[in-house]
Parts: sequence; structure tokens; C-alpha cells
Amino acid sequence: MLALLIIPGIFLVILPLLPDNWLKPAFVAMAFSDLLLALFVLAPGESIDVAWWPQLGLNFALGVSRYNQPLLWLNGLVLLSSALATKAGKAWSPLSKGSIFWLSTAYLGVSLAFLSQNLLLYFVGFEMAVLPFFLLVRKDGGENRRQAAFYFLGFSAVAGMMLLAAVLSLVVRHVTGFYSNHSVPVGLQFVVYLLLLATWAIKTPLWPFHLWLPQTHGEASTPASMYLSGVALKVAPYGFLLFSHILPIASHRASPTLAMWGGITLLAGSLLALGQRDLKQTVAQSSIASMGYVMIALSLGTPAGDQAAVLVMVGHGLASPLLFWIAGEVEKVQGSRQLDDLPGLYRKDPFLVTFLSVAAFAYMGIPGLALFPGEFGVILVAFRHMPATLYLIGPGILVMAATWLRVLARARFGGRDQDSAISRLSFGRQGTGSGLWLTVPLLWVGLFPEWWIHLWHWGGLR
Amino acid sequence: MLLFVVFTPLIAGTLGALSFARIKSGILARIMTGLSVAVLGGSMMTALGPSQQLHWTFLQLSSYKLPLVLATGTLPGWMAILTALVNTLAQVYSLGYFAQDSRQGYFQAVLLAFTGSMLLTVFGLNLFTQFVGWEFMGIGSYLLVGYFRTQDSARYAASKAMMVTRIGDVFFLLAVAFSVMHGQNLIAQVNNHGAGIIAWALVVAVAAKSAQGPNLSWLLDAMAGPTPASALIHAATMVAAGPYLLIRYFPLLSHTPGVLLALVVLGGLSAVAAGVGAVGSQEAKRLLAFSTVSQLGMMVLAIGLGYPQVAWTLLVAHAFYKALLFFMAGIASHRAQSGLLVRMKGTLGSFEFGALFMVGALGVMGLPPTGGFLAKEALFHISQGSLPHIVLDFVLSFVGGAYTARLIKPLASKSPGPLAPVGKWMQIPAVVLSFLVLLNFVWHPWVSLPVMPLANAWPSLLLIGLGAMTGFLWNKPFRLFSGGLFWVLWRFLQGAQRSVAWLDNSLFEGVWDIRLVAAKMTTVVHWGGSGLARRYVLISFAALAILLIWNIHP
Repeated sequence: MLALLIIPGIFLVILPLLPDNWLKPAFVAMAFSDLLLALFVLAPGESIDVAWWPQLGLNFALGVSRYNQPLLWLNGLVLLSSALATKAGKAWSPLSKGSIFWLSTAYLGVSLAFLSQNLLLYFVGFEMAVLPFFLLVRKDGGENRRQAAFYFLGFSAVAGMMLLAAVLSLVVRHVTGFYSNHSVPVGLQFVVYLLLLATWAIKTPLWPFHLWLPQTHGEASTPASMYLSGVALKVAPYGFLLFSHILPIASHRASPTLAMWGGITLLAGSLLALGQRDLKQTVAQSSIASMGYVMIALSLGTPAGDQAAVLVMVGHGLASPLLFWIAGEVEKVQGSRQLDDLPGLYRKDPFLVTFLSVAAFAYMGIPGLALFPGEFGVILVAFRHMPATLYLIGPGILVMAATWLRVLARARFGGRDQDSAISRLSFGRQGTGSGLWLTVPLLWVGLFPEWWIHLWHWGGLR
Repeated sequence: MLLFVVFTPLIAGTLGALSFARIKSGILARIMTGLSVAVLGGSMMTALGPSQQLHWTFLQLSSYKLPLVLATGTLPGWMAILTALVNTLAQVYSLGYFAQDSRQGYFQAVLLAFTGSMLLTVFGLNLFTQFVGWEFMGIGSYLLVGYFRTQDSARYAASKAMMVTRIGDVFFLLAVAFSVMHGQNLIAQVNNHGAGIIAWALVVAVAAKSAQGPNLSWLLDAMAGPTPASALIHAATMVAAGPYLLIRYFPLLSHTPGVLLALVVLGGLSAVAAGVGAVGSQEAKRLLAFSTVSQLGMMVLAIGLGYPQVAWTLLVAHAFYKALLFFMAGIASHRAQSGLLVRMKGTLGSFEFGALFMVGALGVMGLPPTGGFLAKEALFHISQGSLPHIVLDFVLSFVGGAYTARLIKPLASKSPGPLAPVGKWMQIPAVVLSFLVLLNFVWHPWVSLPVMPLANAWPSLLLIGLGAMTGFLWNKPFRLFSGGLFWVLWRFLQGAQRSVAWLDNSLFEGVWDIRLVAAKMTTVVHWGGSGLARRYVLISFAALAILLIWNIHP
């Protein structure tokens, strides 16, 4: 388990010494070895606890649980595909030492946050996962990167402060671990819960605290966007899951409100996605909708709800980086990300359009693709515990379908028969590795969710 | 064998569609046709062989279990044979229809995968399994209807088909969730203990998928797809899945108050409205699409009247003659290079017209010696005793005769010159189907129909004749159901989207304004803290003045 953190740590140390043409292979190798480690070495129940700063209650307490194992696998996989998407010399796929350094730092932070069993350590991981993206956007972003980076930093800083305040008010009551036996006084529970709610609302994000997200994605480079939406976005909902254990009364009380809020986020996110004229923004706003599903499921606080939430996170963690990668490729092929420039794309790059169709169908919630099992689980638990949210989920599904049909109606159609025949050359297009590394698991999770659930020890298959 | 029948078409079709760039199109098309024949054989063996059941868990979250269950049975067996048969014929037809097309292989692969999804729904033994097939069918229809990618009509029709059926899918999804929540993971459990909400949700789902009621217009636009795909969609998959589902869940529907009446109203109104619409259409395929909606309405009506076996008889009869008519209309419009009825004058030879087309036309009208006649008479039989139902049947016979006559009229005329030959691939399926339509007169799979004296059939025959005469004389085209509701839905979505975007933008501006205010305040501080002595003096004096005034005040 420690190796999962040590490998990127070593990579960060030797990165400045690497010659330029080794950068990508080394980055890919690091990501790949970490993915292998995550897949084959992690075992649920494993844990480490070393005192670091006992007076502050900061322990180096790490553990693998049923819920963070899938997320750690996802983490390695998304990093690998982001690493494969980096290209030298291309405006939107930077390959500089700095970018790789900060992306790896974020990766380390995300792993730390996922593994952490200690409140303060989670905070450290959270900040490590969040702040590098400010630099990534500020450094490699597009034209409006200054404004976007400001938005990101502004929102994240507020979220981070709230989180720190919440963690510290728990720590002074000697609640330092997520699984400690200290019970928190009811009054404090509510205060802490409200502080945390602000953090999660911003970082998950919940509508209307999502303003930084489209900004950031609009300007960020392809690998940064892929990683940010694929995994870094999951740190907050995972934190919500962890903190709910130590704040049971407050969580229970807030559950109906929060479920409705998740539903509103879902619907608002879908509608915002429908309103975009830009492919990458469409993807970014769709993520908000998926996070709405996660929030509905988590707010209910049932085991089935938690599992459904993790499943949605996994599905979304596969589909959204895939779409960000596609958006990056589309911009390369077509020279623009605007939806109105998409018609006829299938003639230029049929392979890419196939990827796009698969990912779009995943977002539409078609069975057999990775988002369906989770979303179905969310609908199940919502039906049982909070049927009112279905009034928001149902239209949300429709709007999401409309959003992606709108994209497909452009990318898959158009052009003229007289145009030059589809170029056969592009069938063996270069650089599909990144897409395949996400599409294959997308299908695999979608077709055989039970198999994965078995691997994660959630019960199920015997 | 069950495994083979369901998953071969799904997997092979999907792989074929994905790898079509690597395999030569013609070869792929032949492979797909061969597999279709194998699937047809397989489904026959499944239907005749011992009963089988396959069961595995798709997903288990805590205590919620979501199993995929497939099982053979009498009704699924017949339906599978029907589906596989129409699919095979459509594949054979495509060999001729798309002989010149570079994407023939892709088309036939998607067609096969589409059939596989229907088979999944057919053999599914619980709502979830059927839902999966239902959704795959949605994707398949999207790809098939949107086959002609350069045409705007195809693009619009495909998106619309997907969007409208998606509305039904949401309701289906809710029905699945509700049944899973209560642990009802088999059709029998749902039928015995299912709640009313499942029945109602299924009715909405079927109305969307089978183009009933306000959803009718997607099927009309879906005519932008290629003819073999239309034949398959209309005859034995997709839209036929709706009545099939209702038949399977008939016990549930019948013990939920209000549902059967709703089905009568929904089916009856759709049948009449679509029949009238068919009389006014100018294109052969559009007329046939209207007629499909009308006939599906009759099936729904029969279920609503409490006789699923009549609906089934009509479903089988309809599958044969509708596929036949599509194939013949395809040949005619292939020769005419147009789908307009007026252009299709005299495009069929005497054998094609007399032995193939007319058999199908008789079936649609409900005249002997076809299966259609028996099905329609059965519908009459079950409506006995209720005046509104009898009147409804009379109206349906009348409009059925009228629109079929509209279709027959141009094709009946003799061709002025020799006809362009069509390949044997395009004729074989029609010959087979024509035979089946006639055979269906004496042979009905699965159900035994009530015995009726033929003499009692005279009112309906009379009305069909009257309708046909009217149809021959009617020349004025009119448009009905051009899909205004879809437009309204789309506008509504756009409106909602715009208001959320406006809200979003205002929030965004608001946050930016906070930054601007902060910046302004910084400027003020900078102005004061500039280090210039005269500003300090000014500020000090101002502060002193304020202090003095404050203290002078009593």
C-alpha cells in the first residue's frame, strides 16, 4: 500500500533530472506501475498507523477499505490515460516538466486522500489534490486562463478553509480518525456538518456552487481536464462518505434536503449541458449532473446508496475523462470544439466518432456501459427512501439524452456524399491508447458490474 | 441453445458494426446473413426443444438484487421465430437492396444486433432483462434510422426516434426499479403481486416505443431509414415489442383498475387517427407507417378488451403482411426512384402485383384468404355486445380499406414499358412472406381462435369494400400529425435550458462583481497608504474633524 505513494514520490524527485525525451515514457511507466500495484497489491482491511504529529492528532494512518479500493483503481487508470494523452509541442496537451510534476503531485494527493484514515491527513491530501490544478490551469490554459485560474483558486480556497475549520473543530474534541469511537456532541455535529457541506457543495460540485468547474475545464489542457474530472472531483464525495460516519445524527437530519439538492444539481447540470455550444463545456456540465446522482445516493446514508454512489463515481470517472480526451482530439482534427463545426466529423475520423458515440451512450445511461449500474442503483435507493427526487431524476435523464443526441446528431451526420471518400488512413489512427484504456473498462464495468463488486468485497457473488 | 440464439446476434452484430472498416463490406454482409439463418434455426430448435432457463446476477447492491433471467416458453418461442424469420428475410433483401452500397456490411451487422436485442426482450423473464433489450433496441433503431448520414431527414428522424422512445424508457426504468425494490424478479411475481404503478409505467413505455397516442410521429419520420430496416422495425421488433410486452404482463394489467380502459381508449384513438392520416399521405412508406400505428393500435385495443390472444394473432398476421408490403413498396420505389405514390404508377410486374403485393394488401384490409382476415374477425367477435366497440371496429375496417386502396391504385396500373429487373435477393423474401400470409389463414401459432361462421363477417367485409371505394376515389392529400408535440417538447427543453443558463450567468457575474468590489477596496487602501505626507495630513484632519463633530453632538 505504501508503494502506491512511494513510486510517485520517487518519480517527483527524479523528474527534474530526466532528459526531455524520457519524460513521457517515464510518466507513463510510473502511472502504469502504480495502476498494476493498485490492482494487484491492495487488499481491503490492510492498514498502517504511524504517529506523525500526535499533539495535533495528525497520524499517518492509511487503510484500504471496500469503498476506496475501486476509487484507487480508477485513480491509477485515469492517470495512465491522462499520461498517454500528453503530447509534446501541442498547445492543448502540454508536456513540460512542470505540468507533469504538478499532475503527479495531484495524483499523490488524491491517493493520500483516498487512503487516509485520519482527518488531518485527509485534509492534506485534499489540498494536495486541489491546488496543483490552479497552476496547471494558470500555466497551460487557454486564452482566459487567468480568470479561470482565479475562479478555481477562489472557490477551492474557500472550500479548503471550511474543511480545515471543520477538521480542527473535530480534532480539538479528540476525534482524529474516521473510524474512531469518540462520539461527537450533537450541537457540534451540526456546526461541523454545515462547514463541511460548504466544502462538498463547492468541490463536488453542487449547483449553484459549480461556477468554477466550467471555467476551469474550458481553459485546462486535455490531460489536466481528464484527471481533474476523472478522479480529483471524487475526493470531495468520498470525503462526504467518510465524514458521514462520524456525524450520523446531522447526516440523518440533512438527508432529505441534501437528496433534493442532489436532484436539483442533476437537473440543472443536465440543462446547463444542453445549453452549451462547446463540446468540452458540454462534457464539463454533464459532470455536474453525474455528481447530482452521487449526492442523492450518498445523502441517503444506506449501504446500497453508498455502493451506488461509488459505482456512479467509477462510471463517471471512466466516461468523463474519455469524453475530455475526445474533445481534445476533436479539436485537433476539426480545429474547433464548437458543436456547429462538428457535422461531417465521421468522415474525417470515424474511429473517434465511434468513441464519442460509446461515451455519449454511456452518459445517456444505456445498460452495458459503466454509468448504468450506478445510476440504476441510485434510482433504486431514491425510490425507496426519497421518491420525490424521482421528479428531478426523470427529467434529468431526458435532458441528458437530449444533450448527447444533439452532439451525436452533429458528429455522426452531415457532410455530402460527393465529399472525398472516408479516408481509410485514419482507421489506424495514432494515439488511441488513451481512449482504449478508458473504453474497455467502461464496457467491462458496464457489462459485468457484479464481477467487480465481487472483487471489491461488497458481497454479491460467492 | 438459448444462449446462442440471444447472444450470437448481439455480439456478432456489434463486432461486425465496429470492425466493418477492416472486413470487406460484401463479405461481412454475407456472414451476417448466414448468422441470421443460423439464429432462425436456433430459435426454432429453442422453441421446439426442452424448456431452458438461464439466470445470472447482473448487480447486487446490499439487499437489492438485479438478475438477468432468460427462459424459453411457448409465446417467447413463437415470437423469437417470428423475429428471426423477418430478420433473415430483411437480411436477404438487403443483399439486393444495398448491393451497390459501400456500407452494406455495417448495415446488416447493425440489423443483426438489433434483432439480438429484440430476442433479449423476447426471452427475458423479468422486467430488467426486457429493459436491457428494450434499450439496445433504442440504440439499434437510432443507428438504422440514421443510416443515410448525409441526409438531414435521417439525422432528424434518428434523433427524434431516440428522444421520444427515451421518454417511455424512463417510465420503463421506474417500473424496473419498483419491481426490483420489492424483490419481484420474475414475470410471474410481477403479474401476481405487482403494483399498479408498474402497470401504468409499462403502458406509458409501450405507448412511446410503439408510437401510440401522442408519440405517433416518430415512427412516421423514421421512414427516413432504409426499407429493410423499416420492415424489421415495423414487423417484428421495436414497435411490435410493445404489444408483446403487454401480452406478457396481461394478468398484471387486468387486475389493475383503469388500465384496460386506458388501453382501449389509447389503442382505439391511435388506430382511428393513424388510419385517417394514412388516407391523406402521399408517400408509400409514410402510408405504411401510419398503417402500422393503426394496426398496433388495434393490438393494444384487443389487449384492452381483455383478449391478449387476439392481439397476438394480429401481431403475427401483421408481421407477415407488413413486412411483405414494405418489401414490395421498396421494389416499387426502387424502380420509380421515388417514394411518392403518384410516381410509382405501374412499377410492379403482374406476378409481383398479383401474387405478392395484393396478398399483402388483402392482409392489411382484413380480407380472406389471409391471416389478417381472421385477426380482424376475431377483433369483431370480441367487441360483440358493446355498441361503441362495434362502431370503432367498423370505422377501422372502413379506413383500413380506404388507405389500402390508396396504396393499390397507383401500383395496379399496367406499366408502360419493360420494368427494370430487380435482383433475386429482393424477390425471394417477398415470395416467402406471401406464402406465409396465405398459410396464416389456416394456421395460427400458439392460440386457438374462437370459431366463427363466415357468414357473420359480412358487415366488416361490406365496410372494407366501401372504404376501398372511397380510397380509390379520394385524391386529396392532407397532412396529419406532423410532430408538433415534439417541437413543443424541444422548445420547452430549450426554454428551461436558457433560464438555467441565465441564472448561471448571473451568478457568475455576481461572483466576478465581488472580486471587482474587493479590487476597488484595495485601490482605496492603496490611495491612503501611498506614503504621501499630504494624504496622511488630509486623512488625519478628516478623522479629527469627525471625532470633534461626534463629541460636540449632545
